[in-house]
Amino acid sequence: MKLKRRDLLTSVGASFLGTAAVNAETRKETTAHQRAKPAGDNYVPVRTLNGWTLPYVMNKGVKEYHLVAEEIEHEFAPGTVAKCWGYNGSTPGPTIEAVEGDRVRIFVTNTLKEHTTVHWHGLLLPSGMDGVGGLSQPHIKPGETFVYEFELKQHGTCMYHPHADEMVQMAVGMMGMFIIHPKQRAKPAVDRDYCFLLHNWALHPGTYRPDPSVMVDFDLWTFNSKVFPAIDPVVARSGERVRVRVGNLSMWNHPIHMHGVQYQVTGSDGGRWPLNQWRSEVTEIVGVGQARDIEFIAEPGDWAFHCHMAHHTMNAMGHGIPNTLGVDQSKIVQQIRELLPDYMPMGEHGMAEHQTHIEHGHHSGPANTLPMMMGKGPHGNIEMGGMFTLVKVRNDVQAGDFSDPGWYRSPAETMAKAVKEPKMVPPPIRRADLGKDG
Amino acid sequence: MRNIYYFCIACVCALSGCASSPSDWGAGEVDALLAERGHVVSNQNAHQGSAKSLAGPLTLDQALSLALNNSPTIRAAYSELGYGVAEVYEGNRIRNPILSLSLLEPTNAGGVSRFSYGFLASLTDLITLPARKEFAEAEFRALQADVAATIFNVVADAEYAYFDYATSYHLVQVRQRISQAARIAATLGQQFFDAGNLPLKTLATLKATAAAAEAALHSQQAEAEKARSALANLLGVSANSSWQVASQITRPVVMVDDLQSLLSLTEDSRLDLRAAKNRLHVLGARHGFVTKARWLGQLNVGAERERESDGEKLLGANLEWSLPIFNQGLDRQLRADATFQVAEANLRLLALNIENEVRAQRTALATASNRVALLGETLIPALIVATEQAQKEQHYMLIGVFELLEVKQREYLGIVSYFSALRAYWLARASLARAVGRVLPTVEPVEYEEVNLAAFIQRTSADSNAAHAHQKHRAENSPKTTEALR
Repeated sequence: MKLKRRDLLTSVGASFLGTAAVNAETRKETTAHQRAKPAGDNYVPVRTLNGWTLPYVMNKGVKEYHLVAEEIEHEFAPGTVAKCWGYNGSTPGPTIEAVEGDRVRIFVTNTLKEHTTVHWHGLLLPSGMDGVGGLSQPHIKPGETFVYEFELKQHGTCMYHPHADEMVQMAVGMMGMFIIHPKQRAKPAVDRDYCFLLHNWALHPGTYRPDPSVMVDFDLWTFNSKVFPAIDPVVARSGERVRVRVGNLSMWNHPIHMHGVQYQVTGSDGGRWPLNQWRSEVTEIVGVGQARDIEFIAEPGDWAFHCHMAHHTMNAMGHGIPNTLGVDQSKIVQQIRELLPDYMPMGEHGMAEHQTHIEHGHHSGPANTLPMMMGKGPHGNIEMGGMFTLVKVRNDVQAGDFSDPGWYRSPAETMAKAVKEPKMVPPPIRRADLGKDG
Repeated sequence: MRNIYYFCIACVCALSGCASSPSDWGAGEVDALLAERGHVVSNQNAHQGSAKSLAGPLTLDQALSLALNNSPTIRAAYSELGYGVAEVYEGNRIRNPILSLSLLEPTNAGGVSRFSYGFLASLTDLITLPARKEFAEAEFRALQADVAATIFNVVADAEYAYFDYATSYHLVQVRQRISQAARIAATLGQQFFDAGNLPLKTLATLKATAAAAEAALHSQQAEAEKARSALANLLGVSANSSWQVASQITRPVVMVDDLQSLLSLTEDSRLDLRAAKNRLHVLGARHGFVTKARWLGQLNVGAERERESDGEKLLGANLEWSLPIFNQGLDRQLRADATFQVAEANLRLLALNIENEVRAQRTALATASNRVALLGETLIPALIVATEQAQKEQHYMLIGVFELLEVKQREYLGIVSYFSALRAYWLARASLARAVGRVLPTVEPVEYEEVNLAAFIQRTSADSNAAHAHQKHRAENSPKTTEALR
C-alpha cells in the first residue's frame, strides 16, 4: 500500500512550526518502532537498535524529512537518566533511510538555545549542503528552520551530526545514522539489517547532564545511547545473513567483537564493497568518524557482541582508585566500620563480587548512577555494562520478528560443565615444568 | 575634784563596752550580695570535696556550688572580712587610757617620799569617735562588696574553667577519632604497599598524616589536662582524683539582652564598682572631717593623785594638747585630698574599663553565637552529606578507601571547628557574666538542648546492618545456588 501524503501528514503530524507538535506526533509514531518500508523501495529496512527510522513525506518526487534539534530527557538504562540533546525526541536521532538516487529534502528546526547545523557525514553533496557552520552555511539560529536538499549519489552507511559547537553538541547526544540503500539489491542479499552508533558520555556519578569538557575519562559507553543490559539484542533466525552497520561518533576507536562467527567486513560509508574486498574478522576496529558494515550467517545460540576494550563494557567506575587486588582488609574492616558503619571492603580477589553486593541491595550508590557491572544470564551474573549486547539466533524466529526470544538453552553435551570426578582431570603442566628448553 | 576623777573613770568604762562585732564577720551580707547576682551559697561549712559530691559527673551547677563551698580562694576571701571586723571594732573605741605610777624616794635623809598615780585618756579619740565609727562601718561595707566581688569572680572563673575543660574533653574525643581514621589509613596503606599496589610516596604521605593527627591529639590532651588542673584549683579538689564533668554541652542560649540593658545592669551589679563608690564616699567624708578637725591636734585628759610620805595628799586633773603652732594639720588635709582624687580617678577608670569590657564581651558572644549557628546548621550537615555520598561512591568503586577516610577526617575536623565554636561561645558567655557582674538574665527560663557528641561521631544507618547481614549472603552464594539457575 502506498502511503498517501495526507495519511503521513496526519499520522506523523509533520510541521515546519510548533516543534512540540512535531515531537508529539513523531513520538507517537516511534512507539510502533520500525515502519514497514514504503512500497517501491527495494531494500530490507534497517532496524536501529533501541531506535527508530524517521518517516518521510513524498513531495513531488522528493523525500522530505524533518529533524528537530532539541533538548530531551534520555534513559541510558533503568536507573540513569540525563538531560541530553538529540533529534525528534531521541538520542541518537532517528535513522534517515533512503535509496541511492533519491532526492532528499531535510528540514532542520533548531529549538536549542544556541545555533546549530547538520553535517551529513560521508555524503557526496554540494559544498553548500555540507553543513559546516560558518563555512558551508550560516548557523541555524535558535527558532530557525533550514532546509538541506541534495541528490543521493551513493549508497552506504553514513551518519549525521552537528558541525557547530561540535564538541558540545555531539558530547550531549546529537547524532544519527543515515542509511542509503543501493538502487538494486546487491547480492548476496541480507535478510536482516541492523545499525547503531557508538558513543561515549561523561555523565559523572550523581549528575544529570553529560559533561562536554571531558576528553578521555568517560563514564558511559553506549550502543545507540544505551548501555547493557538495556541495549536491544540482535535477533535473527539460524542461517539468515545478518548485516550490522556500526558508526562511530565517539571520541575513541572501538574494536567491535562478535562471538560465535567469523563475520565479514563488507562495507562502510563508501558503500558495500566488492566481494573481493571483504575481510574475514572476529574483531574490527571502527575508528572515530568511521562506519563499518559487518555481515555474518547467523548461528544458533546467544552470542556476546561488544567492544573489546574491557573498560568500555563497564558502566561508571573510578579511574585511578587504589588497587585492592591481593589486599586482605578482614582484620581492619571492623575498625573502619567504627568510623564508617556502611563500609564494605571489595576487590581483594577481583571485582566480580561487586555485582552480587549491589544486587542484594545493601550498598546504595550515588543517585542516577548505574553499577559498574550488570546483567543476569541463565547461569548467573554476566558482569557487563556499556558497549555490550547479545546476538540471539534461534531456529524458529519468524521473518520480521525482532522480539527477544529469551535465553538459549544449550544442549547438555555442548555446554561446559564442572568436573565431578577429580581423576578425570590430567595434571596441569606449567611453564617451569618444561625446563628452559620447553 | 574627786567627782571629776570618778567621772572620767566611769566614762572610760562605759565607752569600752559600746561596740560589738557580727558573729559571722558579715558573711551573711556577702552571701546576700551574691544571691542578688545569681549565686546562692548553700552551706559555707560544707564538705571539703567529699567523695559523695564528686561521685557522678559534675554538672555546671554542681561545679559552681562546689566552688562556692570548697574553693580555698573563696575561703580566704571570706576570711578577709576579719580585717574589716577588726577595723570596725577599733573604729568604735577610743584608745585605752594610760595608767601612770611613780614612787619617789628622797636621796637625802629626812626627805619626803612621794607616791603618785594617775591615768590619761585621749580626748581627741572621744571627740572623733562618731566620725571614726561611721568611716569604719562604711569601709566595712565596701570590704564586704569587695569580698563578694572576689567570690563572684572566682565562681565566674570556675564557670569559664568548667566549659574550657568540658569542651576540651569533647575535642579530645573528636581528635581521637581523627587520629584513628588517619592511623587506619596508614595501616591499610601498609597493606596495600605490601601487596605491591601502592607507591612508597603515597604510603609515606599516609603515615605522615597519621603522625600529624596523633600529635594534634596529644596537644589536645595536654590542653585538656591543663584545663582540668585550672578547674580543679577553682573547685578546691585534686586534679588527680576521679571526678569528671558531665557530657552535656548545649547549644547557645538565645541572647535577649541588648547592650544598653546589659550596661544598665552592670552599673547595679558590679560589686567592685560598688565597693569603689563606697570607698570614694568614705574618702569624701573623711576629707571633710580632716579639713574641719585639722586644728584639733592631739588632746589628752587625765587625773592624778599624789601621796606624800608626810601624809599630804594631792588630787587633780591634767590636760595635754599639741598646740597647732608649727603644723596646723594641712598635711593631713592634703593627704586626704590626694587620696580622694586618686580614688575618684580610679573609679572613673574602673567604670570605663567595665563598660568597654561589657561591650567587647557582648560582641564576642554575638560573634560566637553566629559562628555556632553557621557551623552547626550549614557546615556540619554539608560535611555529613559529603561523607554519605563518598560512601556511596566507594560502594560503586568510584573512589577508593583512602579518599573515603580522608572525607571522614574532614567531617571530624568540621566537628572540631563546631565544638571549638561552642567552646568559644560558652567561654564568651562566662566572660560576659563576669564583666556584667551577675549571672546573665534571660527573658524565659533557659532550656538547654544538649549537643550529643556521640550522635556526631558515631552514626549508624539501616544500610550498615543490612551490609553486615549480607556477609551471610556471600557464604550462601555457593555453586549449589548457581546450579539451580540451569
